[in-house]
Amino acid sequence: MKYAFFPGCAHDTSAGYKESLDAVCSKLDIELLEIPDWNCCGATITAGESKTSSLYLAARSFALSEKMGYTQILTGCNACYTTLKKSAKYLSSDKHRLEAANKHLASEGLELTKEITIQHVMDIIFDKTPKPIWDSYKNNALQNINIACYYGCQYTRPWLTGPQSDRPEYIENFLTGLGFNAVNHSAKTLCCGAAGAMPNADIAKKLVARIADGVKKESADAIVTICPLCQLNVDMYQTQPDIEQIPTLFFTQLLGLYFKIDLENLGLDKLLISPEPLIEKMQNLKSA
Amino acid sequence: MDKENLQHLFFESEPGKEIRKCIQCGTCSSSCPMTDAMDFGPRSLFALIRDGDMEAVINSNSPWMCVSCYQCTSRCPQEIPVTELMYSLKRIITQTKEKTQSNKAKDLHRSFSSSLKLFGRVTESFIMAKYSLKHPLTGLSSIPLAVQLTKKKRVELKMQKVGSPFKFRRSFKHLR
Repeated sequence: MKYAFFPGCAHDTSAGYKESLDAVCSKLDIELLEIPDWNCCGATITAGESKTSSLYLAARSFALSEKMGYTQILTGCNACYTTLKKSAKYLSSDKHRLEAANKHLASEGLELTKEITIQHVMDIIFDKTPKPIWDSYKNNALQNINIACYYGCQYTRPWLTGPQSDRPEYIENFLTGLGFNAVNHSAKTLCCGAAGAMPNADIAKKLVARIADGVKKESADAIVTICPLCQLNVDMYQTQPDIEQIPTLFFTQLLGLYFKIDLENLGLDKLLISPEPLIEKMQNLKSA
Repeated sequence: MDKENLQHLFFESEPGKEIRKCIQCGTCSSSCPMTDAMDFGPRSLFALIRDGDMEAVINSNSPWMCVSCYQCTSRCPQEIPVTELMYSLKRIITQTKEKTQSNKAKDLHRSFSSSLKLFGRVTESFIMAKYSLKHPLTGLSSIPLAVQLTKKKRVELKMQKVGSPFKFRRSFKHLR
């Protein structure tokens, strides 16, 4: 299957996200077509300056996607996901806003006419791929691998309500289905400090300590993330004194290990907290 | 702009009038990961807005410290879109060009923005460098972490940009 893909500004420099996503997608026959000439979504910044500017940013990338024939856009970053999804909602529900955006797009010969939907690339990998490919790698011994799923903000929130917002089970259910043991912990959707981490390193350290120390008590072998900024903050601040160290991977890197994809294609060497103990444990599993 | 006008502007902004529903329970402030670094947590901030103390509001670092985690929004018993109100405050401060006290989080916003406006995409090293010019101490204290990331080939020095930053800039600067 082919999909339009919005990489976002952090995709290329993140710790092996691009490499591992490409590797896993090729295994699953998913082709991600980068939207040509996409621009920054404005993240959590532009919406605080001007609504018109922030909608223009989204509309430009949407129009480029429409031009290539796709109205469904995938992204792998939580901030892009929520920013674009919010904009798609505004643009489709308010004709005046759409017209205003199109007025400015005209100078580049672009126009947005269709309704755009945004999905996290994880949703497609989990829900739209053939089960037999996954099943052929199933191994009961994987139940010895303890995974702490970390969603961060902006995937569940502000979209889901009730327990699904703070205590989601989506990634847990999928990984358990593959044979992994998903540990329960209370920091699944706790903030990593996001863009506030750099100017407030003390707060970021406290938040990351709360995540890492919490999952360590649950004997987690790895933390699995779905967002470049979450991965960066959680990985980086664990190198600070007095914080437990647990390898912090992208979900695609864990899936790569599951599929036994060559390690050099997963970018695992870019992680600050070494994933060696996890890799070794996974390689030494005896099938039960 | 005088206080009454700013308060009026806020209530008229989308979704400003929602704070009328606030019961001052403090669920937002106790859910917020950044409260410790804010001059006022969201609950106090809303009380100040309703009291009309707009000077304290626009000079506080609070809206800029918000990282959009939406914890407040999803937990508010009155279903007030707290995060959106923070965006609304930032827009009012930006668009009225009010002179306000400088703060670290606002400077980070501005650094991000200038990378975006120049190139259509943002580059982390550019944002860091620009921010460090204003806050050399934070810049210096981030060096050890930056070195670690560089060793792992996770720092991009080349600017990421759209195909024609010139055309992008031309369209973008006319937006309000």
